[in-house]
Amino acid sequence: MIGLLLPYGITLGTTLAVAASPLPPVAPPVIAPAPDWHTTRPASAVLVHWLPLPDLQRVTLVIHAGHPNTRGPDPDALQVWQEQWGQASTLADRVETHRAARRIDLHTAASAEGGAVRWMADFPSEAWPEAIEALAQLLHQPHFAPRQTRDAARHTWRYLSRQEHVSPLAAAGDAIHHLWYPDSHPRGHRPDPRRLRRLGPSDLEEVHRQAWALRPVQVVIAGPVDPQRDADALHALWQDRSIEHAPRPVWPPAPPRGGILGVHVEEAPLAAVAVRLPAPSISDEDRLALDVAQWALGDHFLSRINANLRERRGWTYGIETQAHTDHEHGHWTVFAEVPVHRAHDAIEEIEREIRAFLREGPTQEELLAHRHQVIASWNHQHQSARVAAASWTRWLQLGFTPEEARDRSHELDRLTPDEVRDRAERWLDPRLGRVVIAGDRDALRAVLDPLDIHLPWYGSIDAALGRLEDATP
Amino acid sequence: MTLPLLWLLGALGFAQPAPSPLAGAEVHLLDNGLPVLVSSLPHTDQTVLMLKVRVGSGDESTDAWGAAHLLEHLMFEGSANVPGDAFDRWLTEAGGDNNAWTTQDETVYHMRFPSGAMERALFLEADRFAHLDGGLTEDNLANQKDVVLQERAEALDGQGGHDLDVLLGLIFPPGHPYHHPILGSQDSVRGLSLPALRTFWRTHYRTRNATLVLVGPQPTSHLAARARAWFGPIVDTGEAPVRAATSTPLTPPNLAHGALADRISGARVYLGWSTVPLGHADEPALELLTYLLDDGPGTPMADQVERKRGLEQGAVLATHGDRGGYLWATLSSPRPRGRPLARQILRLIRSLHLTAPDARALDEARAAWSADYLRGWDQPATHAEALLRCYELFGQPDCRDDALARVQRVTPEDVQRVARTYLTPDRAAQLTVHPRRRRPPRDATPVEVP
Repeated sequence: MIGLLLPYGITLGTTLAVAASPLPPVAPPVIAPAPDWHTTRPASAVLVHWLPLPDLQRVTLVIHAGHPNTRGPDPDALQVWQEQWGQASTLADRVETHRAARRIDLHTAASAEGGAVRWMADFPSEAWPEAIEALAQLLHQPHFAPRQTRDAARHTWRYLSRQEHVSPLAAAGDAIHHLWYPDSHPRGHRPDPRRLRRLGPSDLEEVHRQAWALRPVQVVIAGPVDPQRDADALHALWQDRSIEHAPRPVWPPAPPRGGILGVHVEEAPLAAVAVRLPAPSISDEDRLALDVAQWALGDHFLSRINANLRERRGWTYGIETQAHTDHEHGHWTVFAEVPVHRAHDAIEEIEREIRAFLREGPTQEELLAHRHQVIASWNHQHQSARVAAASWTRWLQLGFTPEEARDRSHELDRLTPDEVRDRAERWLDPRLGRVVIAGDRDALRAVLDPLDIHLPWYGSIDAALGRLEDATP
Repeated sequence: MTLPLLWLLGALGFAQPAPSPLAGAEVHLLDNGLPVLVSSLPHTDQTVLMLKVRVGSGDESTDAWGAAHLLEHLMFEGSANVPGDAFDRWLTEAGGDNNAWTTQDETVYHMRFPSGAMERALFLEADRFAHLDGGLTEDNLANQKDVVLQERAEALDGQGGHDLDVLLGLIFPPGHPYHHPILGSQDSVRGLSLPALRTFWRTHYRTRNATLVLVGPQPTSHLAARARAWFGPIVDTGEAPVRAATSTPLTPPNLAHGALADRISGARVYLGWSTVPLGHADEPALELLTYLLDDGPGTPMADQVERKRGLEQGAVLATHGDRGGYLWATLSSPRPRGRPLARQILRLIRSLHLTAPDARALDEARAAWSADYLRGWDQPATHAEALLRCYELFGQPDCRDDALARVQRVTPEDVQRVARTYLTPDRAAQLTVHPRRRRPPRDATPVEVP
């Protein structure tokens, strides 16, 4: 028999062990101070934030330009550009450049969100300044290979026109995004498949030029860096020091009100549900309380919704949640993939858990556990240059200094369960949520019709392109 | 008895550690046969615990497919001293998190937590390792069967979610440890009983069949002492069953070509070959071969296939396990015909049969492999896994120099030789994934996900 053999020679049996309840206590985690950081200004609208982490091996550089709540330059081209810039395929005609990048282990990527763009480079510290020189070439002389550009654009078009496999979860994600953001919203761009099919290298070069001109620019560089030694090489990226004013952010319209719709994914064996609720902006005084609510409801393994749908009922392998917060607004979404005959039940259970939380608030244990998770997360993030740079970029973009971001964990000390409940009640009202059910329409109707639930149904192409005109309240 | 006294007594009477001199990482062999690898990373506040049990789907009998993976799920559902959902709750409230994975050869559990929670983490891991049977219930089993079957269904619902399972079923003949899917089949998972799982656990979850890794900011002496205090008292129940010798088939049984219908409009083609297990002398050359064929511009997959032919998403990958290895290449196309894709893959492989790679290309492949290998050693979780792999391969917890030296010794002729030995057209198993509404290729046998 396998057993914990006690020193006095008795094998600890189950009964004795449970009675002993030998749960070791834990020392509460202590939040680490913010590392020293410095700011330099290579151009009037460019700030570089240096985060020296001398024990790490790699350096991560993030360049964030523009504002997500503005209309970006040519959103269709940006969508393809973000897949292509910095990828090996864009260097297909530049084998030597690619070989250099491979030799120094330089990884690059780009992304776009509304009118904000972001470039990322990641390399070992010994590759400095070669990595910066290679990055400069990618930024100042971007090259998009014709065949790869066309293939990438067509790939995006094929995805949008659903000529490739689409899962109900992906279709639900597309639909909930377009259902939430009207096309008048900076984030609500509806893709234009015809434009995507026509995109060529010159379109990507032009959109890259426009993206590079976006201001203001916040740069975060984390890892074993030394501003005294490294600043000149990095500052040289901004040779053009002319002042360009940032476009004024467009205040987005208020989030839409509740509604539910269906997305047809032919022959899909499972159904996906998505429930999105409004959440406060980062500057709203309710934000911290909502962080607790979202965490307790869905953002960890034993969160209430996951514990219900997975651990108690076995309906899903695991729920997913997405929390979005920016200056102007926020939202929180729960996704679950479930058997078709459980689609409606799953939505009911998600809403039941939310309502129970709004009645009872978090337990003291949930509040404390969340605080410990926040502290652990702060402490862990400086163990990787990539995570540290991503976190710091986000705080700076939201207007926090790293010290202010750190101090938010102390503010959690002052929150009570009742306060969390009262503040959550202002936001997480299921009646204000938007809901999507995606799956095979006939199979889902067989479940929903007997319940007298009749949805407007859209094709998965409509979901991808945002052609969603109505949702049942 | 108070807990500190229990820990103190538990620490007595066990072999003194014999620290390895390598780079600060140490291996301590407990008296019950459990190797404990420890390494100190002073710059971190995070401690990582990793427990590998040498059991995977390849150790299952034909009537117990999916047992190793289902048992992995049950390890989170309670043990003798950890009721119900307390495993996750007690770790989460301390600021920690955890997960696990199962392969054909191993089940690995990992946790990360603030350093002040180390005692609790060790207690939780030791209790479920030694006392899982105290927490196994029919209710938990029924629930986790549902979760596993849903996991399987969700993977099926994603693009290509089970292609590799089907390909391995073609490369390796029935009875080979890698033939059947890790998650099992719907029927096999449904059929697993609590007594059968309990027996499976007792058979494989033994101190001599596991390896424990602890990486954190604490001194290695402290990490080793605490690991010994919690895992040292676990009774040594002897060696796990000896794994049957596996003769890796170099020729699939029927030169298998399977056709799998999926919700796609184009086609995906896979070619796979069985190769060599982890630690085999040819493993480094096979690893470099994948980098030579497919590592961006300047390598044939990008230049001669993706770019010139307008095909998408090519990849060449090698996997090496305890009892075998496989190398596979895949190509997909928006067009529904699979035959041209297979031809392209075979042409790539044939180029290595005809000509050894030039020295410069091999140097680049070595540089890329080395960069991938060394990346992330400064992070506790990556570091812990690297130590585990080193110990398996070289019997020591830090093998960076040895691993790099093995790759340095590979010559262009070695790469050509392994291509000619293992990757020949008549030994390839092929899987063509085609649109549901089109007929499968004439020379292929329709297959389904098990």
